[in-house]
Amino acid sequence: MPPQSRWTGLLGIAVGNALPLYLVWTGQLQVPDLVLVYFLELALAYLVLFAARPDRRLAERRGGEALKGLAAMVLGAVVLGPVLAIYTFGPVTWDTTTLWIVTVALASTLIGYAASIWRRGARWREGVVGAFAWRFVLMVVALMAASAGASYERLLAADWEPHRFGNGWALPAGELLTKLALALDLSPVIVAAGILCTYRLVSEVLHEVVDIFGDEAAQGAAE
Amino acid sequence: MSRLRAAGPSAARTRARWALGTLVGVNALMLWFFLGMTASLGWHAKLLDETTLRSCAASALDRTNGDGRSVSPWSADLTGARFVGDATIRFVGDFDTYDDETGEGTATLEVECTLAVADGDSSTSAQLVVRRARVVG
Repeated sequence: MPPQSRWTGLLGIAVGNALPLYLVWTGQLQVPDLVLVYFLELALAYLVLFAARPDRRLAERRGGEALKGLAAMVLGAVVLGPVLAIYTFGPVTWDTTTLWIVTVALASTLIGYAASIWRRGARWREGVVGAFAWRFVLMVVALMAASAGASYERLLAADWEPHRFGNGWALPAGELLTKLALALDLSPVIVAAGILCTYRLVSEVLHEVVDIFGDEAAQGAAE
Repeated sequence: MSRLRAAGPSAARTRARWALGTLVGVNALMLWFFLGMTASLGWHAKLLDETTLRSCAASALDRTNGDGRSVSPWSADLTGARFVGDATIRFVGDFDTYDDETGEGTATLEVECTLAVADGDSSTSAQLVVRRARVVG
């Protein structure tokens, strides 16, 4: 059997990221559930980062520095964790769908980590910092998207029509996008999920393309 | 062997650099759009915040108080805020009242309020000020 092209993996990434948007569109998934999934993915990435922290091996030689690194990680989690948790868990309405989506997301993330560790073997620590940083960015974008959706919902409920108030259009792109959403009659949940899923989908597809080209360049240089 | 490999390692490196540049550029563009939308919607939604409505109510009721009669905006339940103009909103509140003759009571009043940006500040974190507020019903 010929080896599977890495380009086919792009389809998997695209489908995996478009599926949540479809589920929100059809009313089967709520935006707070989506944000919750991102939070749990971030928490898992943090645990993996904690287990893989490079200063563990230095601990025997340079105990002070290792302790500083450990303290910074714990402090970051203690300060940021509850803040993110409040914004995440507050709007969640727990039901069967929430439990189902959380279980599926956690299982797929755990399988992803297990596969990655198995594939890399002793080099499993490589990339965990980047993975955590990416989850953190996604979490921030998720909260931003949820906030945009909530504001949009309040404005629509108040018969709002776009107008220039002060410098209310923070950026021209914001004005364009908002007017587009109004013209397309998009609901607030679609606006929120659209921001979140589009950002992740496009970024992860492009990252995979960069990865493929980078590997080909490295392979070419080696030959 | 792929066409890319046939073109040599230099072409492959160039393509990898272009791909990375595209990733960074597209990412920045998406964030520019999405942050702009979030900031803009949040800014306009500030007009409907409870603190804004309460400031409007205080300003509107200021004129009606006096002569042994007062209406308090601070304990009111403010609902139904809607836009009736670009920066003009209307809302209804159940206000606590006090009258020297009849004592304490409650009044349901509709307030119309026009807002402006303080000191012409152009940032989205600027303070809102009440330009005009009045009881309309």
